[in-house]
Amino acid sequence: MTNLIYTGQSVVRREGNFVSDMKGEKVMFSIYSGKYFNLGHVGGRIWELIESPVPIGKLVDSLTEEFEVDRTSCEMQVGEFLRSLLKESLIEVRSA
Amino acid sequence: GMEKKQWHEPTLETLDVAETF
Repeated sequence: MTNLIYTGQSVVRREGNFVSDMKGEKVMFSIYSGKYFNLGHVGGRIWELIESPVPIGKLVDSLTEEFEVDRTSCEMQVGEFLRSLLKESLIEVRSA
Repeated sequence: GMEKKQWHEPTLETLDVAETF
């Protein structure tokens, strides 16, 4: 598995995670690792947007429309966040 | 006409059960 993610690739949630909204933040339990995670507000929104496979470029488009953030920062921070999700086997990355 | 939400850098925080379906 590679931890490199490119904007041309698509990402989608991996099955087998229990997710709950708690005080506006998304908290998740992974059956693979037995760990609990807090995705926070923005991370929770990203989780909602990747319910089905979505190209990373399109994901960034959606986020820059919805949030007060410039595209370069958004792309960089979302890429880092997706890498952390991938490292914990919470998402799948597919070639577009 | 839509006000944008405040952005916070997304992070994946690992919780233990005590701190925390």
